[in-house]
Amino acid sequence: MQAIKNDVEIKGAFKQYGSNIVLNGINLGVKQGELLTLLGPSGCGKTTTLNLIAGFLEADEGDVYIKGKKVTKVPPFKRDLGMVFQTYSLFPHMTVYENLSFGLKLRKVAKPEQKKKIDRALELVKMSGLENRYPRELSGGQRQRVAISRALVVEPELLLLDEPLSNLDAKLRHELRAEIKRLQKEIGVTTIFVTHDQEEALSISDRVVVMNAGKIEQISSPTSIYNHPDTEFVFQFIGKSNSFEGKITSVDSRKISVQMENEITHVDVGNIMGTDRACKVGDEVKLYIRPEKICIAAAAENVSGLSLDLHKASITQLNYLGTSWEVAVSLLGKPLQILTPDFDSSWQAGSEVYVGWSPSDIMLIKK
Amino acid sequence: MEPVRHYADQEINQEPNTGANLQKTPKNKKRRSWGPGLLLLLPILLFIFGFFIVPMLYILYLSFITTDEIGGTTAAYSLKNYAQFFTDSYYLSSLWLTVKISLYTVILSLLLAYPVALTMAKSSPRVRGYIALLIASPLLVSIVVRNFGWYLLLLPNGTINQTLMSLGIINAPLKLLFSELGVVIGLSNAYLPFMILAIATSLYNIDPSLEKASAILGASPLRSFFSITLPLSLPGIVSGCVLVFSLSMSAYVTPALMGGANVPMMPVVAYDQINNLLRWTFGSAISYVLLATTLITVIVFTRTFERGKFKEVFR
Amino acid sequence: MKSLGKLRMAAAVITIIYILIPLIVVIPASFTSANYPSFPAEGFSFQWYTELLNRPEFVEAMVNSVKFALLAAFFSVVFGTLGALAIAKYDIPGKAYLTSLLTSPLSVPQLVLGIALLIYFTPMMLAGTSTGFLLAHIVICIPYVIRLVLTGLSGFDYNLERAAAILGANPVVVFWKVTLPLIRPAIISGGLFAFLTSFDNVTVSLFMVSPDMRTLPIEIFSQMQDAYNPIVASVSSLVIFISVILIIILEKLQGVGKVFGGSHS
Repeated sequence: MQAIKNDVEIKGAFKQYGSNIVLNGINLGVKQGELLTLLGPSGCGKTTTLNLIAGFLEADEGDVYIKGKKVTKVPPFKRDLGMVFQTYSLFPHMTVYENLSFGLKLRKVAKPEQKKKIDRALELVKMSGLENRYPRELSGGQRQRVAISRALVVEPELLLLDEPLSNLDAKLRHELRAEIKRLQKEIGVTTIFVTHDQEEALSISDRVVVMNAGKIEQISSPTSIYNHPDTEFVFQFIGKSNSFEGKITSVDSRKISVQMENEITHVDVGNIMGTDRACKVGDEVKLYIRPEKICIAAAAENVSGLSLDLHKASITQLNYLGTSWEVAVSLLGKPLQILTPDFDSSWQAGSEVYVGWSPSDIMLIKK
Repeated sequence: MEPVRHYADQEINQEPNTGANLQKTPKNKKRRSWGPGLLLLLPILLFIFGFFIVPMLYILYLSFITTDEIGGTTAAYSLKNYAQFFTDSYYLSSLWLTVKISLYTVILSLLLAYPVALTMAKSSPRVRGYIALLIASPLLVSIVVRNFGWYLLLLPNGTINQTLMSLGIINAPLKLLFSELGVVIGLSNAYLPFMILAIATSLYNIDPSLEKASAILGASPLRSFFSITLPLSLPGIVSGCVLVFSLSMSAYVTPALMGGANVPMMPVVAYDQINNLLRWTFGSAISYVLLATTLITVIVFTRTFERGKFKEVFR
Repeated sequence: MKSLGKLRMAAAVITIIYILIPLIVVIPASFTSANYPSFPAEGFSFQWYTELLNRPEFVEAMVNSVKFALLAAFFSVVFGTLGALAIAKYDIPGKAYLTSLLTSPLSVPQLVLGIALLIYFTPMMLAGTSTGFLLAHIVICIPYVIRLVLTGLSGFDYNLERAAAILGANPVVVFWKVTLPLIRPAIISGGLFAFLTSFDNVTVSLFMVSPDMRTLPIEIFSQMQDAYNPIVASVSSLVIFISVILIIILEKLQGVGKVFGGSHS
């Protein structure tokens, strides 16, 4: 298992402010060269975790290791890290060049060597030629590029990114996101990225850590976070979701049958979430499915390739989103959100339709 | 002179507020132990205690001391100083004169200040800056210099009297200098800027769309002003009045130079007791009477507004 | 509708002239050739300026004023900046009360403060000494420094300090290279303000001066109480000149209106 060595290791971190528990036993390993994202809602402890690694905070309990060295009590300025902040945090009284040379000077790098490194670092983020500008003369995107190159120019052990894209507009955010991903792969620096934006986390990361209320909910690749969440929280936090309640009527080696009112639906046995995964007949369960995993068709035979689990529903509302349609239907008297690229122009509110899904797309949790 | 404004740290919080808000410390804020902070504070705290708080308490203590006339060695606690003040009609009329002149000053300042504040509120930030510079700069020039200017204007054969006489409006020079009017002019001139800035600040805070809303509903500009702008600027008016009143009550230089012996306001009387008659315990008592009168008037005035018809504006 | 606006503008202009006029008349009056001050001046001469140089008490008062204003500004800036930094940066309990305490000399009348300090200083042998005078002036200057530096720190992005620390700067380097340069304008404004406050002060000074040690505003004050002499106009013009220079610098740095509470925006 220990094929790749962990660059960062947090062991049993616990932190509390007054009666607020901010970190409740965090154990985390960051592999060498990976881009790991800490994702979660406001107050989940992701920024606290980052500050623990940076050294701005000390946990009440637990230890932090960087490259195998215990750094729990080492102040930030001795940790040799690079960090990018949401607020850019470029020194406003220094030019771009001076901002970049700040860390190099402190590392006693010789002047000509400084120049070489700064030139390279600026080239890397496509900011060559702006050395003599002051931060206020740069746009938001440019500032963040400079901030990234300032963090990288010192060739840090680790790169920490604290919501670096949150202050940018949507277009720039996309652009810079791709840029960060490219740079990170090019340089190979182990990177920890904090964000509350799930799309950003899924698109940029090698692995995502979903946090909630001071605990880690799941650490996985973006695809398994999205498609096979471990917990109810992860399912609901990432993407949109529909839920139903039901009762297990049968369990076999491949599928579980769940009765909702008088309809039956099937769930793959691998799709059970939560801590207690032993299901038996008669258990009350909750089912979750994402809107885009639901097929919708005017007639039952049109739902292609899915023989299982077709249900009759009626449309309550239709919203056009450009690339797809958002269809709200009523299934067994309960609202269900569907996202579909296929659309029948005859549909309108009140139309009777068939909806269906594959047993591999529906997740189950015991109540 | 003015309440200290607190600038709340502005947090950038773009995160959706899902989940429990456990993390009370915002990420941009520092959370450190305050030991080193105390060390930085120590010099200034000691200084303020040693040379401000203690002296102020010391004269409060002295105001309750009666010394015998000869040596001042036998000290006894009593209210004699205060009793002497409140039984002597000279001091009482001086107190009344001080309150009266301060009120005149407040009213004159308010009337003169409002149009300027309104103009500032309706101007671009650039023009606001210029007006603020023009009106606030005199505050940074010594009061004696400003009083000297008024002296030139108000003399019996000064600019104002000569102009009025040459225009045939008056026959004999008006007694402007060394009169209550002179003091009111001097004081209002000195403290007007505070009134303007206080009102302007409250006018800036009024949502400009309110006036549009009022106009759409059919109110004339004048009507909008009296039913929207004026009531909403009450907090500024109140704080401006409080400021000008307090400053006028305790002003010494202007009453001494513009009023002289003809206008014996409390500060002039207190100065006389301390510096010329060396009656320190009585002078201390006068100081605290002055402070208490100002404070009580201010509290009553503020409360009246905060609980009056427009109490919602003060929330 | 338009006429209302014009009326308002006219009233505003009258008030502004009312505020400025006492300062406007002083300067022309100082060039009078008569031996009584008046506005408009009679004739034109520089005699009251040359006279100024022949009066050692004015020269000495001038030197005293500048000297004490510089010292008061220096000490209040040092104490005030340290205090403001502590309040802004650390989670000290009762912060709001602390700020009110440190700016409280502003809310006590200068007359009462002068009385209190005179009575307090006399048994300490500080009354009428330069030390006593300086201490009193530091007390009245500190609140302005605290207020200005706190304002300067209010928009301070503490992530800048973190960014510096992460780049390898220890706390001392962080302070000298990042924090101090960024709050320097606020500190300079605080210093200028303190200088002017001390330089202009009459009321507190009246209780602190002695016959051997007087300042320019005190000289003007006593001249005005005794005999009116055009020399007051030339001294006053000099005071205006010095104030205007400092006001210009202050305006460039901070905005004079802002300092007194009216914000620019």
